[in-house]
Amino acid sequence: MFTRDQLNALQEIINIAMGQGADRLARLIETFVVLSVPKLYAVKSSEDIHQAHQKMSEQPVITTRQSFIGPFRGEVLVIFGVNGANELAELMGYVDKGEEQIKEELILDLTNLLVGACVSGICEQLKLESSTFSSPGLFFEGGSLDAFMQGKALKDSKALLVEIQFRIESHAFACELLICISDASIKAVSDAVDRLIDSV
Amino acid sequence: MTMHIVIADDSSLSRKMVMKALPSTLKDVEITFARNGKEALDAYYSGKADVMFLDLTMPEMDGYTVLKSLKEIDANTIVIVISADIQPEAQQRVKALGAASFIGKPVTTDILRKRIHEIGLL
Repeated sequence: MFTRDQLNALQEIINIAMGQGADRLARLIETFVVLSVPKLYAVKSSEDIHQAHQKMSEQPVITTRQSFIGPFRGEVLVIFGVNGANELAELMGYVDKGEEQIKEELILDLTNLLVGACVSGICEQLKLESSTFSSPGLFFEGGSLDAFMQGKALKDSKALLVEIQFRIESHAFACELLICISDASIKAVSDAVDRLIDSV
Repeated sequence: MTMHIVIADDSSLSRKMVMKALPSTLKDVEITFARNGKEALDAYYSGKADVMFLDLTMPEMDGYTVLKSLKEIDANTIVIVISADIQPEAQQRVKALGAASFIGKPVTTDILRKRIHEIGLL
């Protein structure tokens, strides 16, 4: 799908985009966000995800999804650990157990923020026309992502698994992103990455 | 006199972008690349770091640790942090550790030239 040079370049492009996402998140929660070194994997099957993603998939997760269209087209899954999501809600003052709906809205707002920063940042750096976004939605809650993914996802699509953690110091909150790119836009992305590499 | 410049970043794309953005008016420079924090410190110990362009998020040893170590060894080393982490607190932290300047990625020639001018390298 992508050459090693293209993946290395994409890793940095996504790192820069996610830095903007972290900045937006930090401003929202008024707390410093620690970014991990991003890791990228080209994945073709659920088994690839299983191998690349064992740590996060062992714990219960909340997964949201948001699609984007344009020359850069696809869908992003944002994977939140359940405990961390609860802690983030508490950090933002949503402490009552009766406020599940508010917590869900918070998670969806967070998805919008991170996916928007990531996809827009990628398009901007690759000089691709901006994508437009669907509303984010809750994809899956509870259990492990690994169990959910078995046989259900990525049968006919390709994806970049981006392991990037947003962590809040002294808290359990962390999340990861899975960017699925439609077959139709892989060439556009691949060509744009090559142009960027050739320009430096 | 030759100016030794270290560009420390785990991304080869970013290392090349920084090198390309360096103003051509910087004469007699020798550039060393470091792919992680440990290599950045090794470059300093080899006497090859008058100025360091330093990424924050790197494997082996992060930029904060490199900056802190460098400033403890030699407060005169000029460190310009270039990072994707553009949070105001990240910028405050590196300034507190002694960085001469902070530039958010992606770096451009205009911004890099402006910062280099501000700290008196040109």
